Amino acid sequence: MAGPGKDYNHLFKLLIIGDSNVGKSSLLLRFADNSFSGSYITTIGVDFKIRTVDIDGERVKLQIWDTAGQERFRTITSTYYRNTHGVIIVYDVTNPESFVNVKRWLNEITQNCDNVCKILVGNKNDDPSKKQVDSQDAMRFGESVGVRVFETSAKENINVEEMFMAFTHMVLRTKKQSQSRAEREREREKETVDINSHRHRERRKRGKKCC
Amino acid sequence: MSSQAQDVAELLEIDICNGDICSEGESGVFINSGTGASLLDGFSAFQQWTGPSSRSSSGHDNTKRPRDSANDTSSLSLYPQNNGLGSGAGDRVTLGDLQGQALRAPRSSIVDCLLVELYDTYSSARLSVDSPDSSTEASSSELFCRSNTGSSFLQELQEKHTRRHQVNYLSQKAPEELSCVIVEVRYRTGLQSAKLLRQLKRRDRLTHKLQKNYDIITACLQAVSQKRRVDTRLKFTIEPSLGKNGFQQWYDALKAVVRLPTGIPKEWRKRVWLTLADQYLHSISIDWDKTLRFAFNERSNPDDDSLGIQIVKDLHRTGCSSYSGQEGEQDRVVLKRVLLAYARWNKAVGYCQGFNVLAALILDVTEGNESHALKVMIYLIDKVLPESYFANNLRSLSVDMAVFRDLLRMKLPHLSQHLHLLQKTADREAG
Repeated sequence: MAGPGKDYNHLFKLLIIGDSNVGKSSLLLRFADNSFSGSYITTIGVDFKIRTVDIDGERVKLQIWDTAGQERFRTITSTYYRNTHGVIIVYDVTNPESFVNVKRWLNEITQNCDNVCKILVGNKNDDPSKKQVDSQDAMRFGESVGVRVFETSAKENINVEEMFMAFTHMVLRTKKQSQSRAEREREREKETVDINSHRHRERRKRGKKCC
Repeated sequence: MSSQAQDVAELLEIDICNGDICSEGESGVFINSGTGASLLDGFSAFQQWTGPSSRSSSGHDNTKRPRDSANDTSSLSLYPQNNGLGSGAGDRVTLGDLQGQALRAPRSSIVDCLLVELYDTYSSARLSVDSPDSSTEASSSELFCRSNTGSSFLQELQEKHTRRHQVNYLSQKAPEELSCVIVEVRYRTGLQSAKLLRQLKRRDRLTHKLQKNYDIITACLQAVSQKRRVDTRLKFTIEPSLGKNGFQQWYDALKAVVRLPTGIPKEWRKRVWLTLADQYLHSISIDWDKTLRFAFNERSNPDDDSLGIQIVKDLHRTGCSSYSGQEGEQDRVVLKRVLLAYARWNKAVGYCQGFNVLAALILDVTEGNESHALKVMIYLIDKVLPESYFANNLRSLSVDMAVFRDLLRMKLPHLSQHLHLLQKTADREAG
């Protein structure tokens, strides 16, 4: 439902992370502006772009934050995890090291927020002769950590739109689930007054976001 | 009178150096203004040269004389033979002749003055374009035409490379030939002295003019200054003067220039950046040659691999198109060398993403000169920007961001509030 002065029903903040030169900015540029440049300037610190999409008749405004990949920027980028709905972890299918480092990026997410939607994206998937990260390996790893995997090419515009749309769906579903859960909880709270108030407070404390 | 003499001397130079512009009128001026030339010290060569010519043409009218210039040169080579080695006698004759001419001079002196004025303007305009070297070349070739005998002796003499050979060569010559050489040498010495004198005077004039222009700029800068109290001590020069306060005065003046709406002119950038960088490196007593050898060492250092990987990833992503694509290969090689050189110089900072953008811009200003670029990088990162702006998790940068936020709240409260509201809305949505 669009409120007064609002041109959208939902506003989601997404974050793109991953090693440097895996194509984070290129993915965003392809999705937001449908353009590509092989010599796009290095992201220094953070950058963001906005695109509004339609999901099942609802307007969803995506505020997508792009980050610098180099290690030393992490203190700066970590402050942008705050109130994020979803994090896109990108690796380069032609660079195994960037795939190995995905674990470290997942760890980065757990440290900075919990209960956030995640997606794993293997970019630069347009030249089979250069591909070094096997799709099966990536899928298996994704299953083991409970994260869906997409393979894309920002350069050739392969799977980029699909990935962002699928992720937006995911984020929207998560939001709706948590809303209805909150509703149910409120309902139950109304019915069962006082008795378990202490335990409720405890649980709420535990469930609270860390940042 | 002396200034006119100087003008005449300049005209003489033109006459001799630039055969292509030598006209009859000029030659006439030269002869008629002989009084001016004779007043100059150390001009005996000219006097000797003009002496015999005027003698040979003594029967002719002045205005006709220059047409016989070909004959004059031949008489020049004959002249010393008539007088033997006694150059003193020749001088006397010459002076006498010139004074005789001076008596005839007033007739055309107004025209002369006009011509002097005209050609002075012309020559200064022309010579400011020409380099001193090219005018020297022109004069030597011109010399060759004017005095064949003496000149060819000298030519031969110069071809004898050792002193012994030269002595041998000279000892074989007849006295008259030697005197011819002497005349030629005197003439050339006089010519070069006159040229040197002229250049020195020119330099003095230009220095004086430059100083005056500096003073004007200083006055202008002080007049438009928003910080008068600070700017009273500034003294504009294009490069720091050598005095004790030279650098500070230059620095203060440049700061005033920076505050102008147009900032520092693009053409100054390279010089200003390098002067600042040089001053910094001097202040920390660096052996720059040693540093360069180490920083641009072809052999790889232990840290190079990990540094290199990150650097190579960013070489084509400077935001400057010349570094991307096939044709950017050479530029990327230079950029990589500069970035690696800085990383080796400052191991604590190493390479930080974004240096590629800085170095590409600096290389653009230093016109691809690697060591100059490194110098400026060092000055910028080590001196101008706060410590740990690029190292230690960019702590100083975080501080700057916090300071900026506070500054925004103080200086632009409306914008600050609007941003704050946007943030709150986004947070509420995130709920």
